Amino acid sequence: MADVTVEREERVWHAGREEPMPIRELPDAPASIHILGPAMVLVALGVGLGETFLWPRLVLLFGPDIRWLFLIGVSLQTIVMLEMARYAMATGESIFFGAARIWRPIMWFFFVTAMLVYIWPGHISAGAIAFEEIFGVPWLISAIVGLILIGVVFSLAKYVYNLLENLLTFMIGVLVIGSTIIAAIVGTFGDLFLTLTGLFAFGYFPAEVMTATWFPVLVGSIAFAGPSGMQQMWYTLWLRDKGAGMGVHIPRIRGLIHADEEETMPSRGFMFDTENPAEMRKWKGWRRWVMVDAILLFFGITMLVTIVYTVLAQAATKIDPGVTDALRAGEEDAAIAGMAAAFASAGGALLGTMFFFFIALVGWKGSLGIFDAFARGQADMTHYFIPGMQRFNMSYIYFAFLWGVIAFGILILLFGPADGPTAVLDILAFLSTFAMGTYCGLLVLTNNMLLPKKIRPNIVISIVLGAGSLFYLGMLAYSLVRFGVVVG
Amino acid sequence: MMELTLPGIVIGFGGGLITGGIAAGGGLPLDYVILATLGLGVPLAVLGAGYDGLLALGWIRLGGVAPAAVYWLLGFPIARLLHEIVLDLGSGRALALPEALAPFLAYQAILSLGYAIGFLWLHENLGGYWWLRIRDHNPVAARYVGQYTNQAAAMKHKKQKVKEQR
Repeated sequence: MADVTVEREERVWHAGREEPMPIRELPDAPASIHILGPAMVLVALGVGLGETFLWPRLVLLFGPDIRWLFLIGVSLQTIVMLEMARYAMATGESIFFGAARIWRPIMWFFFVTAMLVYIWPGHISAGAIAFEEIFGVPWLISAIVGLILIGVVFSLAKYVYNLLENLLTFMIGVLVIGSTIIAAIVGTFGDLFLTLTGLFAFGYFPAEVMTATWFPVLVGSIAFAGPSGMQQMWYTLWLRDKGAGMGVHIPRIRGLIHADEEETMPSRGFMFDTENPAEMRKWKGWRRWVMVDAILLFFGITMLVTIVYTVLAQAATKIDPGVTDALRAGEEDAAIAGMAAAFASAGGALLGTMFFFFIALVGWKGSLGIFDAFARGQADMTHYFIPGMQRFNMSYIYFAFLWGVIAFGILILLFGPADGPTAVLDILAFLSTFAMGTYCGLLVLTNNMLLPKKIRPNIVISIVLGAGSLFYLGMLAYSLVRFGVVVG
Repeated sequence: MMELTLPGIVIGFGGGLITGGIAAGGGLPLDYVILATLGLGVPLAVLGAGYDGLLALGWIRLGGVAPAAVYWLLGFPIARLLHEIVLDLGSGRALALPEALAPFLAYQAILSLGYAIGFLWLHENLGGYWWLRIRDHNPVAARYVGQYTNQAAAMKHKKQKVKEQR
């Protein structure tokens, strides 16, 4: 399916069904002094409700030993991340382009899934409700202002990615330091010890989990361990804008007021000469760079945040046992309010306020990242694969999607159900988890069929990805067939 | 050298302000709020300054995760221990940690990784702006800026080169 030929005196790499990739030079990998790679953006986006609410809730209901499933979920996502990076850094293309090279309908599936799943502004409402608790500003107003603010800051930036990285770095820095200090004050070694040992209680599966009430919740929580839905796929677009690997050959997305300065977008990605030992040395440097990103930042921070919040939730239930009831009822807002109230009674009103503050921060930074990513992914597929769209600047297409989703979000917040129509909620939850199972399988195909032999993943990685695909799709199917419920 | 320590001091004292803010919000007396703020803020600020000092001396690598993690593995538990001691003694209470000394220190040491990463992220962010301001008269700050700009310039050069290739 893939080979090197010389066409019109230019060496190209044939990969799949689309245009061949010209061979170009791979840049040097950055020195390790820059710790911040796009993994930070993925962490900032991925660390959200799963880590601060869903998993602490499962621990309180079923005990810390249930966390081995979290370890499996995050470990799998770390491998997925490294494989997404392999394709993006080797070609400068997004994984969506890779999907099109295999078979275009696979790419269109992701295009449609993103349109259906990510246009609803539900994710901003939890943060806005927490904001209302602190400042008394009606959540609808702060949610709408928050949405407009996202569009404005991206429009004014010179390079959208740089702004996104700076904003999220600051927010996550404050979030991590603040949460750590609070956990250091209210938690104990005992809480932490149980949380940590629970990660290795492989096979623990309480009978109550195997019910129509809790199994779908568990499947949803595993899918929400780390980045969920299509977030990993968008990571390939951030890598490209960061100039990682062959991404250096692709122009970056500019802010709206600088969009007319955009250079011509090539019609496909590029490949480097894998037969050249010097190029392979540089490739190894890039793999090391992304490995540090994946293991230290992505895996480390995701684990750390969820451990801190689990310890906090355990401390909250000791202070106020009523929190467990709110968690059991599954009322997200009530449970967050309960946890905040428990902290307030232990450490004063501001401790509760701090908790709300962090939830508000999680909500807003999540929306910031998701809107950017959604617009980026849709713009990429539109630009390359909708006939006639290549004459439009990629940055303009990006902003059309960004402001489109913001306008739609405001209309829905004002007049409709924020999470999407109730009738289709199950379909959306299904599609989100189904996309994860699908991209695991897709990565096996892209990285083994479209890349030169020397830079393909080894067989163990391919098997793990295949197993990951079966894991997500199997749990989804089992939940549907056995209990008639999608995911919780 | 002193001005180089500002980012570490600001981030460290910020940690103390979070704690003091919590105490203030809880309606605790002003003297307790001051104790809570200074009890954690001062040790974290001093340790933050120490980090910047080691960085300036070239003992630790700019932006390196492992050196920061090791530094705070020792520093964060000490800061928290001092915090608890200051709170107890300053409030006229007998010294009593939330749990025995060994588990207390172990717990704080594990959480120190979170503090180290958060510290490093903010340090890279805030430090960058500060070093740019003082680099004209501070050769160490100029060295830091040089390390980052060399890399940025190298990336820009590569971009230029590949644009010509396209």
